[in-house]
Amino acid sequence: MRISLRERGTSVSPFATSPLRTAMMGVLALAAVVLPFVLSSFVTFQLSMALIYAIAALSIVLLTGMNGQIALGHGAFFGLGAYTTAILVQNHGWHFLLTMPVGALLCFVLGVLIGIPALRLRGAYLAVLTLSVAFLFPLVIKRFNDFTGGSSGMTISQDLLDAPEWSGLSRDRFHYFLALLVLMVLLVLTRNLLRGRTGRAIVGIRDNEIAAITVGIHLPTVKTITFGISAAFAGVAGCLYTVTIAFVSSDAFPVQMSINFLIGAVVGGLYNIYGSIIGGLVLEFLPQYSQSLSPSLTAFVYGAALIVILLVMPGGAAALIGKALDGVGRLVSGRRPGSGESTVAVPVSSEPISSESIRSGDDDPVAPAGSSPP
Amino acid sequence: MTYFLQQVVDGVSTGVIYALLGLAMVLIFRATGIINFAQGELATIAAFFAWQLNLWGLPIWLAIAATAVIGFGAGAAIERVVIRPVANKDHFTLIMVTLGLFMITNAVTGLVWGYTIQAFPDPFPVAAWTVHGVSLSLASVGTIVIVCVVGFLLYQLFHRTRLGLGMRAAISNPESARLSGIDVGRMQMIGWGLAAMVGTLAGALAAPKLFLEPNMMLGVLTYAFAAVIVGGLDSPLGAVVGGLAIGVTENLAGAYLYDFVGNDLKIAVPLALVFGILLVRPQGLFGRRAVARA
Repeated sequence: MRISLRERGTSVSPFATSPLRTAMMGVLALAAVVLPFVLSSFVTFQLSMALIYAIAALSIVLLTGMNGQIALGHGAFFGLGAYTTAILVQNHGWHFLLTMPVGALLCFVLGVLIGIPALRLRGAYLAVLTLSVAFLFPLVIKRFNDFTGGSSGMTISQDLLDAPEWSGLSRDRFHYFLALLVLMVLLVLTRNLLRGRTGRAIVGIRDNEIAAITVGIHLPTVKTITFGISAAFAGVAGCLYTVTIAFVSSDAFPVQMSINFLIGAVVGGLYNIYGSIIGGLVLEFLPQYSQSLSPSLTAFVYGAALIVILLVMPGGAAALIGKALDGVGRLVSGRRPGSGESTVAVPVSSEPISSESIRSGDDDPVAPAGSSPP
Repeated sequence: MTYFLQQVVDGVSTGVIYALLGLAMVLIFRATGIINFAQGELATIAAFFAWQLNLWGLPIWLAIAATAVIGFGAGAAIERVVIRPVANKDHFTLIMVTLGLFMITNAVTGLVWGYTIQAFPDPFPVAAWTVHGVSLSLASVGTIVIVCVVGFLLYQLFHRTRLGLGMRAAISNPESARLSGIDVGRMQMIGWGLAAMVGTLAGALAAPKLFLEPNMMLGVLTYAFAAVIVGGLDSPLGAVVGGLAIGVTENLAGAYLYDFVGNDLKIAVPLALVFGILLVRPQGLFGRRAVARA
């Protein structure tokens, strides 16, 4: 089978830089720092939640978007992180900042453990395996209710979650900046990871497993480690969730949460790590507005958005913004399209090279025999 | 011994529901090669529809039958409108589209009928026999008979009729099927339609036990997935055997491992077994291994 490695038209690779993008990032960073001092503490709290969901969406982008493993169970890792923080802070008197590495480590181990059977499963089977994990998580929490508080939940004393003296911040602002810092660190980590040799292995496996094996990538290691890292990200998000909300219960982590994370990642842009920020904002704020109209509207909008985005714009909001920025950039600089505007320095295409995309390539008459198996 | 048999019988009567929903999934998989995440929600909305018809005065069996016929049309329409445009995409897109369908169906059910739990009229009269100390309700026996009949009819359809042959050809090699004059698109529509019919039955038979509410089938969906995976995605017999095995294992785990698993976690036992089996036989117990040519 011939694989065309022609650079695809999009320039929204996570690594693309241009003055315009840098400027946009600068404005966003400024806004991120100033906003909590301008907005009410409730809105600051909502923004913290958006950042936390963004971390969860980032974990999906890494595993599903970059490595091609479908993740329908990340609510379980999120929940494990949340309970780690809750139990260590409330029952064992730990400082909440110290619980985050523990939560990350636990989730990494659980992620690797689930990643191992996931090696033998693809596509729909993997989706069902991860969905079962999401389904079982609340039941495990209920089963060990003397330890976890079960469905009646567990409240963490507010004074245990106060901002440290040295920060001089209110509790809400401190939680916000903590979530912001963690998200930024994880974004940089992910960017660096994807930039290097490991990143090429991760993406290579997504695009063509057989080709990846033939160039010497050890498939089981890369896939399980990616699963573990992704789970650890979701776990850290869960720790922050407990810190921010100060309450956990088995009903707070339903199957729907796992599905929502995936939807957030798709809406923000599955193939762009910064898309997860948009995903987080959508997951936090969209339900606020739709819920006030009708309790079922959120699910309806999510479902419809999912189908429409996959049909019309598989790159999600990030791809749309990338295109818009390129358009503006061209207008500003007056350069013709494609004259060095899109940086293609890194051999990582932002979207997967599926057999279908090869087949439908308009300037590429390669038609591989046989369609991909379901 | 009587206690053990009673547990097995009770397990079978929950397992048949998983089997029925599993059969609907197998139908869709055989017709379009898709695992349909929306299957449970489509069954729920069908159950609500039948309940509504019954409320308007239709006898319950007639209401279920009418819903099944309408369900056929709705299933075929979904295939045509939602699935056909993405039919050639990679499996990730297909899974996500059925997930989207899952959410939309769930939302529409909630939007129309609300989230109050409703009692669904039992289609079977309340009666039970006792055989050697084991009690068998008419509802259980009736459901088992229905599942066996549906499974048998599907088997006959796929292996004894021209239509079934066409459907098998359409999924195994769409290109060649088209060349030999089979309307592949129509075969897929029929597959989705039939699956919606079977799903209607699953929803209507599960509803008296589970009580009617928009999220009623979420648990059943997970077990039905496990059932078809353990039985083999393309095997109707596998779906039935897998569904029954899961129902029985779940019940036995609840009865004999209660101290350890408790009431909440008994479903973890069959799910763990399923994934144990998957590691050894990824194609399931009755499924055929897909051989891909590179």
